[in-house]
Order: sequence, then structure tokens, then C-alpha cells
Amino acid sequence: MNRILVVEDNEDIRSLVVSRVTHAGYAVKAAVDGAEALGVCAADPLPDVLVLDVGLPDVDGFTLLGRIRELPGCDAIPAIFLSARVQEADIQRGRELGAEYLTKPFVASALIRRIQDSLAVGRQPASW
Amino acid sequence: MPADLTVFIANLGGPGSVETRDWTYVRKDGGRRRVSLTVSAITDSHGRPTGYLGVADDVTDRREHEAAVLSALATQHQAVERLQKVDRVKTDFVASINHELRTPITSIIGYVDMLNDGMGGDLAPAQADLLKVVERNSVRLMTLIEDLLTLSHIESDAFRLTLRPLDLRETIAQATEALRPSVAARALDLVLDLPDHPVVVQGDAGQLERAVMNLMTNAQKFTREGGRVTVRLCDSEARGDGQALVEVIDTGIGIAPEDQARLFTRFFRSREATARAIQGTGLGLSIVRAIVEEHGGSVDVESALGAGTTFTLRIPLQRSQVSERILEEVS
Repeated sequence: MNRILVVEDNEDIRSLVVSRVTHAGYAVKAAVDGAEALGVCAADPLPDVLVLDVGLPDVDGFTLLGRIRELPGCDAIPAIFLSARVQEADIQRGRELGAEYLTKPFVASALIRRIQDSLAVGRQPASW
Repeated sequence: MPADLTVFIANLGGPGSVETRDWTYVRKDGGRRRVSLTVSAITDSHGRPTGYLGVADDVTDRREHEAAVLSALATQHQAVERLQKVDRVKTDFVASINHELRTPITSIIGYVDMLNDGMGGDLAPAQADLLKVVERNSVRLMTLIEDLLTLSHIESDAFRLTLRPLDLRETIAQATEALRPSVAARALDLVLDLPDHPVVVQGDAGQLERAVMNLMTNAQKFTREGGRVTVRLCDSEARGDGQALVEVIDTGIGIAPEDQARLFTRFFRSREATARAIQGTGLGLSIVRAIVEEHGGSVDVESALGAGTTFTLRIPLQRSQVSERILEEVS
């Protein structure tokens, strides 16, 4: 079963995302801030996909993704930003980090599809 | 001779040197006059000064006018700075309000969806009906937030269009695609009357699509089931005014003449819209106008109660090499 790490500080939205992703058949861990997320990514088994809020209490999601990718084995984890920030600059920044960017409110099926797509890309061989 | 005038003259250099300075003279009646005094040295053939030539000009009025102009400019400069600051504060405020509103709405819409999807157990028909009301209103609230954000964004000083040559037929096709489901749901006849050659303008694809979509959304909202919405595009080459015309024509309920002038005012809703409880934020047309004006264009309305409405967008055509090439490729 693929593992998804959901990082979201708002309790209701965290619980909503966790329910949806669990319901879609994934193993889910949730973190409330960047520190907790880094803790999850520092130990095996590593998550297969990250679902990240951008406005976190201790660090912004973009910086957090950068830090997670510096951890051993985490340099290529696919990430999906799920954020209430809808300015083009934020969306652009997320995409420049190679991540998907969904805005809140989100459509559950769209989130699940992004997770499936990210896993499909991740399974491809790194080189020919 | 006043002491400082002596110094002024002493400072004069050699032959041909000229000094000009303003002086304030106090008249017997206490009035002050500003005098511009130009002094030049007169020298003999050996270059020795033999005297001085002074020309005095009363510049009191001129200096007063200059001071008034400078002061007005300074005031205006301060006002511009203040407005720019207000604009920045407003933009930040809207961005932060938008974020703060989106978070709870995400929960409301998300949990309503979960209930609808049966994740909280089966819903009795009456419960499903009640949920539809919650859903409808949360979507309405979300639309309002989106519209406010869009309008504030377009009207902010920092807003820049992402301009590129684009074919308005594409823009209309995209907007139509997005609206097809709601047009079909209301059994409306949607007619696209597009030329068979590209109509190229220098435009922001996303923003122009939003403008056309807002007009089409209105047309279908205010047209009874079975009515017709026509989107007509033409370039007014024949008339030689170099503009692209997008007309969104409906056979709907129409707009009273007294309401037409106020249509583009924010939050204004026509009497008909209010009376028939047709939902809307009253921001859609303000957004359309802001977008087309950013493009150097305009928007007009023609309507008669009960006879339908036509909105016309006019956007300057691009007559560049790019559009010429596209036109050539097509012909």
C-alpha cells in the first residue's frame, strides 16, 4: 500500500484530506507542521507522495519541501501543494519545485488523481 | 550698500564675469519685494575693474508662482505616494482575507462533499435536499470571494496583463467549452458565429477568456429555458477601425433602460435579477469592464425588457507581422 504524508496545520482540513486519501486506499500519515513532517521523512518507511499545505506555522511549504528533499532517500519524492494561496507567484513557485499545485477549496477526486499520477511517474525507471 | 551686496560684488571674477542673485527688498510700507539682481563687472582695456553694471528685475510674482507650482507638485507627489500605499495595503488585505475565507470554505465544501458521497452513511432524501442548500450557498460564497479577488487583482497598480498574440476564436471556444454543461442543463440553443480566419489581438488569454465567460454566464442565466445565446466574433476591418468585436447576444429577460447605465458598477444588481432571485455577486460585469479596459478596449450594452440583451466587447486588433503571418498561413 502506498504511503502518503499529509502536512496541514488546520485540523478540519487535515482530517478531511486524511479521510479522502485513506478512503481512496492509501496508507496516510499526518503532520501538523514542518518539524513533524521532517520527523516522518527522517525514518523508514519513507512516504511515497507528499501533500503539503503552503502556510504552515513554523515554515512555508516551499521551504519545507526543499528541506525534505535534502534528507536521505527523499530527493525525488513527488509533492502536491494544497493551498489557499491562489496568487500566480505562489503557483509558479510550487511548479518550479517540480510539484503539482491545487488550490483550496479542492475537489477530492482531483487530489486523488494527482496522487495516482505522481505514483505512476515515480514508478518509471530513473534512466533508460 | 548692504554688506552682503559688497561681498557679492567682491566675489565677481575677472572681465566678463556676471553674477545673478535674488534679493529681498523691504519697502517703506513694510511690503517685501523679491528682486533678481544681475551684476557684471566693467573693466578697462587692461582688465582692471572700473565699475559695475547692475540690472534689477522685480520677480516677486514670478517667484510666488514658482513656489505655488512647486508646492502643488509636492502635494500631488505626496498624494500619489499615499494612494500607492493604500493600494498596497488593499492588495495585501484582499490577499489575506481571501486566504482566511478560503480555509473555512474548504472545510464546508469538503465535508458537504463527503456527506454527499455517502462517507457519513446513507442520506435520506430530505437530508440530501437540505445539504443541497448548504452546497449551493457555499459555492455562491466561493464565487463571491473569487470575484472580489479577481476584481481587486485587476484593479491593483501591480496588475500586469500577460500579453501575447492570440486568436479570439480560441478564447471563445475555451469559454464555450467551460460553459457547455450549464448551457445544456438549461436546454439553451448556443450558437457560435465565428469567422473562418483568425481574429488576432494582443491579449491576456486567461483574462479575455474570463471576460467572455462572464458575459456568456450572464446570457445563459438571464435567458429562459429553450432560449438562444449567440456569440458572434468579427474584425471590423471593413469599417477600418481596427477593432475586434465580440458580441454575446441572448433572447433573455432584458435590462430596463434605467438599469443599463449602472450595470458596470460593482455589486449593482438589476431589478429584474433581484425580482427573479437570479443569483449573482454583481461583480461579473465590473470584472469584464476592468479586463477589456486594460486591453485598451471597451464594453457596451444594448437591451430592451423582454427582448434580450447584447453585450459588445471591442478590443484593438493586432496588426503585427505575427498576425499577418497567421493570416497568410490560413489563406
